[in-house]
Amino acid sequence: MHEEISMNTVDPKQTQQLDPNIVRFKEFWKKFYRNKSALIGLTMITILILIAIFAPYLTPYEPNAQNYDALLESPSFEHWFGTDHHGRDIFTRIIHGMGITLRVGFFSVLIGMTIGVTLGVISGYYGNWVDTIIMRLMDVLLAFPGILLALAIVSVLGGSINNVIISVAIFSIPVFARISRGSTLEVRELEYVEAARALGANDLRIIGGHILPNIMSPIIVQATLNIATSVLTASGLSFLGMGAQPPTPEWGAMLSDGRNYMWDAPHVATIPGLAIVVVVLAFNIFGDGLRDALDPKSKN
Amino acid sequence: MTEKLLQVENLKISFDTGESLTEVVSDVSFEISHGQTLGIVGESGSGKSVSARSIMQLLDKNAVVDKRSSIRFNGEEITEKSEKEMRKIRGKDIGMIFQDPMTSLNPTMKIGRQISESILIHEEVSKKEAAVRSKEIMHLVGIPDVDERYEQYPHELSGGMRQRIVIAIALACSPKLLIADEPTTALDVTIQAQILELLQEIQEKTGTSILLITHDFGVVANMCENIVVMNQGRVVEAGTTKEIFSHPKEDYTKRLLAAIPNLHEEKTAEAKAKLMKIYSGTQEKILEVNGLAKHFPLGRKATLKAVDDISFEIYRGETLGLVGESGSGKSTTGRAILRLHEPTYGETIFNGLDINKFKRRQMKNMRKKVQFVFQDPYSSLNPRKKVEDIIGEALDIHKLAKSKLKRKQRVEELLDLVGLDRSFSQRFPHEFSGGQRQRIGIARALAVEPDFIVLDEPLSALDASVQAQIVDLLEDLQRKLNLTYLFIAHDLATVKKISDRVAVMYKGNIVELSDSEELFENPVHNYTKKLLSAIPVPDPHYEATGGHISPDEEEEISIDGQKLTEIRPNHWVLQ
Repeated sequence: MHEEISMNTVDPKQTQQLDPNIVRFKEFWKKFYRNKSALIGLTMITILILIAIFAPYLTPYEPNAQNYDALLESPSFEHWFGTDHHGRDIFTRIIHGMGITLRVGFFSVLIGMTIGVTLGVISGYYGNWVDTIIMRLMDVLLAFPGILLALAIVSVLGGSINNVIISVAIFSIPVFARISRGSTLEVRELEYVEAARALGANDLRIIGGHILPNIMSPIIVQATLNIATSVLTASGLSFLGMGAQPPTPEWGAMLSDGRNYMWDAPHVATIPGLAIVVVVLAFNIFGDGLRDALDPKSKN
Repeated sequence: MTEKLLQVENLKISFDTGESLTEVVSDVSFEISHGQTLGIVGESGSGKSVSARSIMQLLDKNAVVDKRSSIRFNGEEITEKSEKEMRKIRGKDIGMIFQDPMTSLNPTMKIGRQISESILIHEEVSKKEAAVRSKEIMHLVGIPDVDERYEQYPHELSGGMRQRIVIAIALACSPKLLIADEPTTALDVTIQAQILELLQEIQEKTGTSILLITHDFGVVANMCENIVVMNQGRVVEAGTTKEIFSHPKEDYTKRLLAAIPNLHEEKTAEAKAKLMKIYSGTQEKILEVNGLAKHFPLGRKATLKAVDDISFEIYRGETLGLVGESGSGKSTTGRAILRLHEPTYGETIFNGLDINKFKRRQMKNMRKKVQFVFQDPYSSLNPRKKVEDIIGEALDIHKLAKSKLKRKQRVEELLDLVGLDRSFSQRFPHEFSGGQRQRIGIARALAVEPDFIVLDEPLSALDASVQAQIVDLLEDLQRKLNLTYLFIAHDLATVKKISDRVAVMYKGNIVELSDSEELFENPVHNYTKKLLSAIPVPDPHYEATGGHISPDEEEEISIDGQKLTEIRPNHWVLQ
């Protein structure tokens, strides 16, 4: 294996003019670019974000404007995705709901990740009783089925988008805690961490400068995949009436409304459902691609 | 003309990197006759392992063998064979011994089955017969209590025993050729000697040919009739072992031979004077270790006494070598001195104060005086940081640089000091070779201007010629900066050159301590003798004495209840 190691060591003279950060990113991009499904995922996410930002300009209707002359109409040229039982344009509501969905996904994961990684790194770095307490706590959280836990939290806090974000964040804490704890345990034993200690570095410097940057890859991948889960859970909560309240154009809530007209106007329920599928799919394939590109084991 | 067993001609192998082909082996030719041993010697990246793997057709998928290459084994062209035909040759006609016995055995399968399996694959024999033959082979490779071992799992055996099993598997079908790819690199020196002896004896008994791949000239000297020296995918020189050792033609070979530490080199006058000063008591004591111990708890009741009550002194400006096999506690000692592992008990007196009693703030100051250089140049540098920040971190921690510019200047100064280009400061560790990385590690340790540095096997991951350069650098730095070293190593040969005094560690204790010349000329403790006799002698004219396999390699040397006593002036032995 010696050969391969040295083959990968670039002759410093050759890359003299290149910023190593750019080199590193180029290597990542090359692997990522070769993975077609990841690229499709990224493209989809970009389009979804653009739609969310420019939603008001993409449609002549207001998301909550009711039109009792056009109730439960099937998709047509005027109403691309049809209308619901209040005569609201479903396409308008879907693209306005995009922002809510993405916001819930991003922020809940961001909060969950921040808390989870902090706990996980502390747990892995200090070990002993700190580790025992934190990880047992995580085990308790993990013991509940995710949606049930989120449901319980929302019912305590009351139904609103922000509370959905909080509850989904809490339920994604253990996943991040576990991953970052495992990676920390691995990195903690490496000699550069010991070298920093030998230099007199304190714990904060070691964690911030040496451990965190080296455990980020698996965490970023998990975060991307977790956005999909969060979106699904958040819609689930709204579907059960515990999340976004009417008339907010939230997909889960829209799906719930459409349930009553499944036979007469199936598009009212199926279209929000498909929208959820598209978002979840986009983040899942993007996450998978990211994992392949960041995983040092899949060099080729 | 008699047909050679193996003829490799114009071997050319490239790796497909996705965009271009990188040639790793070019125009390599060599041959082996029946019953002969050929050594391929080269440093990492020389293409020696790739060449050997191509004989077995065991190359990675992205390797491309040139169409004009020819590998003839036993009169047949191997490069034209299909995977199915190759499978019949692998293991049956060509056996392979891998480097690391920890990973080349299946941990979930009993040893006996792993050996008999290769017989069952290639020959139509009953399971009973295969078992009988397996046991015969185990006996041949010097494994005691065959019946008992047959039923054991790999983790129940020591590293040396495991490598014997690997050899037994390779020998199972009496192959005509045995390829040994660095068979002793992962083993301790005393076990290395036994495995080499074993290979020689097997060859005498079975008449198989051996292709021995190694980076160590000491290993090939007594093993091989012929040597091929490789560098950067090309054959540098080929010839009989005696020819190459006595009249190397190429500079590269000469350099490799010069890099072998000479055990009988006399100390320089300068070194002798240093030693005199230490012994006369006029040299200042920099570090005194008193009854230091580090115990690791193993489960509820058992403890591992990694370091058990050791004492020694180090004087300013000297290098104390600390030698021992893996598990002897030498690295733990180095770490316990710096409190990277908190010692269980004992004193470490540095500049008159016991650092084990230091509080956090005092400890931080202490870290400016005492530094550490690590074994593995790959894992000891943070891959996400630029060289400038790796070296500069020490300056940040102790606020030694007043401005960004000062910091940059100091880093460049340190790079100059360790012989690296200043422009390297803006690069990341992965862009450097092992030797360059080790220099960066040394620069990092020097940043705080320490008095004392613990060097934990700083050479063991490096090629021989690079090792020599690092030793030169360390000696040079010691002279320039008046540094004191504790130099930890697993083999005596490396330590001899750099150390003023040497301590030999065994099972957590120091068993012998003296100046290096005295220790090499008059070793007293059984374990020191064993270590010394195990050093491969890089001289083809040297006849190995004894020449029998000792199956009792795990023979324990008892050290219970013994004390370190001065048997001659300044020569301490545990007895």
